[in-house]
Amino acid sequence: MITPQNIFRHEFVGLEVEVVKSSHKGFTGIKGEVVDETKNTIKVEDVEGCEKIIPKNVATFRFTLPSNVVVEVDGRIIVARPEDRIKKKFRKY
Amino acid sequence: MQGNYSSNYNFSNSMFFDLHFHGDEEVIKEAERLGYSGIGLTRYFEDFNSDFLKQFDILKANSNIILKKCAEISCKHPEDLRKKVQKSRKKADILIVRGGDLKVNRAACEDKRVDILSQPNRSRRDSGINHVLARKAAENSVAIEINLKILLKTNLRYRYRVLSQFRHIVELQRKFKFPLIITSSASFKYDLITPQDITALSKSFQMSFEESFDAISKIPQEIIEINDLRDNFVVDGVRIME
Repeated sequence: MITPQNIFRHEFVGLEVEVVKSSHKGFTGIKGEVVDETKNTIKVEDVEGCEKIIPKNVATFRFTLPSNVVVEVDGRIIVARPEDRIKKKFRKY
Repeated sequence: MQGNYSSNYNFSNSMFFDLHFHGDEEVIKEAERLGYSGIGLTRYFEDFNSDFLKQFDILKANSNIILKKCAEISCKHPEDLRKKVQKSRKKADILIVRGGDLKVNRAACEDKRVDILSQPNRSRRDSGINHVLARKAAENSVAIEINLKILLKTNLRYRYRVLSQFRHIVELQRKFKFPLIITSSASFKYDLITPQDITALSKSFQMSFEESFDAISKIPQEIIEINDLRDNFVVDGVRIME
């Protein structure tokens, strides 16, 4: 089950996402469902059906979990292949 | 001075904060009278105990301005610093590390749990900050403090050294964009300085009006806001939204 405590280790494909902050203004405001993920990018299908590829390290994502909890994730900490992300250690501050 | 003020930099409309403040109730009232909107009531790590927390709650209830409890840590070794930061992070709203030693300055700039590095130039001939520490401070959002008490209490014969240290810190801030704050470290009401005087005094170490205005209003406000949200952070970079 996806919780805010394990979101960064979980599979993102299928989650609702919104880009809330980015160093590139064109990425800010993109909203949709995650359809694919690579080491450095996330592919989002928006409401119009267009697929947008967003680099992880320049954006802050807001994921809506199935339990309706909204979690904001800095893209820089999820830069990794999905299969490598489950092994990654995250510091708690 | 006229024509120097844009609509964003207005003394009457802005909030001012002093995050390094050792005073008591009388000094807090004087700070409110001088125009401060928020104070970081600071106690040393050894004095940050339940008595202070009770006193803080009473002062907060009786005061009209924002009060935050700050713990000031001083140590000789980076390992000692990490232990004290671990112990005091949850109790204090804002964490201040007293610098001076280059290793302690470096450890503080590399630790994301530290909010402010105070007096990096303490007992030093140089400023205590170099390009490496400046970059680390910018990455980890550790604010560097310019403590005006040092400038005003230093013997006139050595004041040139303090000014050149502050000037070096300001030059590094322009290049590396780490947060920079100005505090008075007031213990008595005569140590307090009005925000207008701070912006005027900061010209002596070549800080522009906008930079000094941000250092006493915008940057401390951001530090307070980040620390208010600290409980919502699950891990570094992941935050639960309401």
